[in-house]
Amino acid sequence: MTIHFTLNGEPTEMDVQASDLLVDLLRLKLGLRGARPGCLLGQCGSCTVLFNGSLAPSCLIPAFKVYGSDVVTIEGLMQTREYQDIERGFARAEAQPCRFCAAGKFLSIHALLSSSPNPTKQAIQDTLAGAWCRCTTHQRLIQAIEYAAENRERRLRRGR
Amino acid sequence: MEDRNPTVYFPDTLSELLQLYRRTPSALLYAGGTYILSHRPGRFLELPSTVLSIQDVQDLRRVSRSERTIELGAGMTIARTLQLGEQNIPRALYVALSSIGPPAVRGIATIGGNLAIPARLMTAVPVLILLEARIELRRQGGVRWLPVSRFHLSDGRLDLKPGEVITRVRVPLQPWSGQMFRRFGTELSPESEPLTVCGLVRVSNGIVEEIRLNGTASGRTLLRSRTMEAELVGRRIPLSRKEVESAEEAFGELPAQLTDIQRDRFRRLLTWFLLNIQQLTTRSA
Ligand SMILES: Cc1cc2nc3c(=O)[nH]c(=O)nc-3n(C[C@H](O)[C@H](O)[C@H](O)COP(=O)(O)OP(=O)(O)OC[C@H]3O[C@@H](n4cnc5c(N)ncnc54)[C@H](O)[C@@H]3O)c2cc1C
Ligand code: FES
Ligand code: FES
Repeated sequence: MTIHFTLNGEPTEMDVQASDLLVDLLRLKLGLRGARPGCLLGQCGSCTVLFNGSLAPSCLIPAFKVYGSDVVTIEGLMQTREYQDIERGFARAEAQPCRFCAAGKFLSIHALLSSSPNPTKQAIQDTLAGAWCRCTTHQRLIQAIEYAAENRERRLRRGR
Repeated sequence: MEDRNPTVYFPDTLSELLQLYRRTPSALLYAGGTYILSHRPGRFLELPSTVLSIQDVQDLRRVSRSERTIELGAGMTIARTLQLGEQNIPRALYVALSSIGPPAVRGIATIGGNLAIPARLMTAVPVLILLEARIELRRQGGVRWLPVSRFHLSDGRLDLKPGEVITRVRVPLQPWSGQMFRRFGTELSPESEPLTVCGLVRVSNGIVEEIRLNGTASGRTLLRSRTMEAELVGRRIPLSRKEVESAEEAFGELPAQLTDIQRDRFRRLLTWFLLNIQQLTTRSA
């Protein structure tokens, strides 16, 4: 089947099999390798994308469901100021994510800060539960998010 | 017959969906797909020859609120339902929905899908039962309303006729003074010894007017005692130790299939709820 959708702001058309998984389409057909296959069961967060504005595991999205949708991957987020806020927060907390978890962490934090600019500890914990990390301590990740929130607030105050 | 390239329909309207489903009752009704996909047997998804995707059906995503009820379209995602805010849906339901999966799963998983998993009482189900929610079931040429408590049949099947779809969930908005929802483990992984406990209480002038409490163990066994609930109506709060012990006794034996951990946790939470009604009525947990 042929699907039309918006990928990182660009209209996109592809021939697919209905049951192909979005994570495979992104990586193998479109060369966007930021979403990574981890558990393939919706648990680890390494394949996260924004799907119609909500976080979603691309390993649980078949190609037919992509039809008519709006998909933003980590590569799309990287073009934005929001991404820089988060990246600087991670650098300041010395919590630079590896390639395995970067998509999950950055997109989840982006979604969190968009809906609650000053997130509670509980909301931060919930966000981190959906972006598994095998190495960085929880404390450092929480700090990175707090710094990212500060960066975002400062930037918005400056009207940028 | 499994197929990697099935015919997929994207109806825009409910009547189109019901018409298609009537014509092909063996089609797979595909909502968020989080259950369907996470239960695929291998790396790839095998689909039946016809799939009905409900994602574009606007009628299934409507919310309407009156003074007494809120109606949620069955195709609403868990994330969108939570965006309605704690003030618009009963707090126990809000807490239960917030505990479902990681945030990314909540972004695509739907309320209807949560209700319609056969042989499993998933996270939202016991709370909706306790709130006495009802579901609207539609097929071409027919509509009926069913209490959520009667949707899961004792043999594990669902009370769904061929070609029938859950279209909305009507949740009563009663003025509960205190609400509680607690959850351990995950209904789909028995090794996590899953358990939920939900409690609702309405108190007036220090007297219990109505109290409801239920739980699920391993997403299969529903725990509830109407005898205990009846015994507590009319009592003054805080309940004394003796009254709590008597209520626990009235709850009766827990079913044999519960593990020791589930049993212990359920008993503790039951006691905690009864002893803390007063605190709960000032701060719903
Ligand atoms: C990582 C992960 C964690 C999860 N954690 C939880 C959890 O904590 N708690 C929990 O309860 N669940 C959990 N789930 C299971 C699942 O995501 C949810 O139960 C979800 O609500 C299912 O909704 P869906 O829209 O994805 O259903 P789908 O997978 O699309 O459908 C499930 C079933 O319901 C049927 N169906 C769907 N909509 C309707 C309708 N309107 N009318 C009739 N039948 C319908 C489908 O045909 C299918 O048989 C988890 C899943 C994953 C992958
Ligand atoms: S690979 Fe998709 S959530 Fe783990
Ligand atoms: S930094 Fe990537 S898994 Fe921990």
